[in-house]
Amino acid sequence: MKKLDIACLIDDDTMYTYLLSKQMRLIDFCDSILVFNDGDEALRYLRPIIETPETLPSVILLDINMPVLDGWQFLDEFTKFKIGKEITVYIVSSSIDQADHVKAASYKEVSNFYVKPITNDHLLEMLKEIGAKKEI
Amino acid sequence: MQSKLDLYQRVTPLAGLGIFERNFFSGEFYWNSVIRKILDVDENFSPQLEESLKFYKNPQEVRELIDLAIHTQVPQTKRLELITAKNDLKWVTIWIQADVLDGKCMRIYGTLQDITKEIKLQRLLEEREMRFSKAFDHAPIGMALVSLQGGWIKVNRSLCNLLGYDEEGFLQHTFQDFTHPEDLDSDLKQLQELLHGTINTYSMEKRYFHHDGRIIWALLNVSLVHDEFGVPLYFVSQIKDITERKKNSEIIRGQNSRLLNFAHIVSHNLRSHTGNIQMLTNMIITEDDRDEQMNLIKMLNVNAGNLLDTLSNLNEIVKVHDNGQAGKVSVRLEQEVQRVIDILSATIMQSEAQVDIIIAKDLSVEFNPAYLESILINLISNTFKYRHPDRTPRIIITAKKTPSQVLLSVQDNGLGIDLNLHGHKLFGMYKTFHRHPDARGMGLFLVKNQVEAMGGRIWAESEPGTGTTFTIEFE
Repeated sequence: MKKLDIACLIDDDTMYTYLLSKQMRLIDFCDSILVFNDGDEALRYLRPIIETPETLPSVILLDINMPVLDGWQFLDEFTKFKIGKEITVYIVSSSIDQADHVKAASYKEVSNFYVKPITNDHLLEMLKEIGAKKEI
Repeated sequence: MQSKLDLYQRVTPLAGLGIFERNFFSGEFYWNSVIRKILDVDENFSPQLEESLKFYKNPQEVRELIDLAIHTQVPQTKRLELITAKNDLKWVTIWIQADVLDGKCMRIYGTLQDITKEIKLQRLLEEREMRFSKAFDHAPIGMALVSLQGGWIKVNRSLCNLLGYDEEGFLQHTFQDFTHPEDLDSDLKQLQELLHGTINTYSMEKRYFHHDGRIIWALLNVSLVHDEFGVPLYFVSQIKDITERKKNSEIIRGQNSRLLNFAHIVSHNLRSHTGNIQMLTNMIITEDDRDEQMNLIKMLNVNAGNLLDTLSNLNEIVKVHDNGQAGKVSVRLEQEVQRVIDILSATIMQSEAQVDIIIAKDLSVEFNPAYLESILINLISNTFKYRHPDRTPRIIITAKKTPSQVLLSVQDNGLGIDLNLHGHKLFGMYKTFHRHPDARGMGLFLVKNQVEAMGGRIWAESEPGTGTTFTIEFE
């Protein structure tokens, strides 16, 4: 399986982002990792670089419950972007609230909903799915 | 003439009419077969007048009737009770006519008709009517007979009590007067359908106004009574007070929603930590580097601490709801606010904030004092935590009493918050909206739970960049 270029983690749980980054490196998930602690931080980084696809991530792992701008609010802004690159978005949350799962399904930009913790199998599944998309 | 008499004698039994004649002058006596059947006697029985009167329960009554007939020479009639030869009790209608000549009664004659069946039926109906009337008057639920035009025909005591009127006061109002305007159309529509025969009866939950203005929730049941030809006569309405039930189901709904919300909070927050713990332990197992392993174990330790913190936070919330309305006492708002300001005085002085308290000294509310302190500390210290960097904080704390509640507001000129963006999660657990190092996302969540546990409400109004006002409505 081909590793990804850039992965983006948006989550306010710093221990989680540390651990997941480490896990990603261990299985050689991607070349580099961008970490943001809320949706607003992520948007402010991504917005100016829309024009340069090579600096954009090819996958975003997005938490729902975050301060300032939560996952949904991030998505509402992010989906307005005109991006020249295929970016796969996964929701990664501790929420087992059915309402969150239903809401995630209403965004066509969201490919899947993972409930924490993320395992190696989950990461490999993502790699496979994103790889398959590219071949089409 | 003979044939006429013959015909008469043959026809009257068909009509069930007994005929009698007693001629005092000639001694002639005649009873037809119907009379004999009424009295259960055979053809040979031919009593004297006094003997025949003994069949009647009250012979004197018959004697007086005969005297009256003789005296007035006008036919007399009466309903009488008699006991037959077979000891049966029967009701009859008697007609008596007397022929008088020179002041002397020559003969009496007349008819006798068995009306026992009719009397029994009448008695039955009367008894039913009485029973209905008693059931109506003393029914534990409100009942009314309503005319087709919508006016009251009859209302019972329960209904008057339900809406807080005496009967006289009640009858001065129409049912439209008592009905909540939002429920009127539906009620009238169904009344029309009932009248047109498209439905046979209807039930609805509707709101009435009590005499003192409060709303009474009731289950209304209406049916239409017709006469024997199917012509509508009047409506029968039954009105059952379900205010308590409505209130309880409201409370239960609220509790259920809070419980579900709490279950989600618990599950979410425990999962965040346990998720991390699992990732950590997996890594510790596969990590070869000793130093990195130690580092991961330290993180595991931090995580365990976080998990405990979360549990104790959740425990705090459970305690608030466990207590229910316990600890409610009368507290003076002005005094409590002043006390919290004293507690926070160091922060206030440091920030050079201006604090105005506009609360009447004697204004008090029923509340748990510990919760009130926690609420005030949270709301007031938030005003400093989220102060605007460019201005001196100004905080206005006001309380006012309306007829039904007390409203307390804490207004600041701080950062404000975009309620369109964050309004739905302002009071959520672990929700923070500014990048403030001390923000734990517990304060407003706890405040809301404490307010609601005491039966109150809290809400916020805010303008980003201008300030925020939190208002608490005390029950």
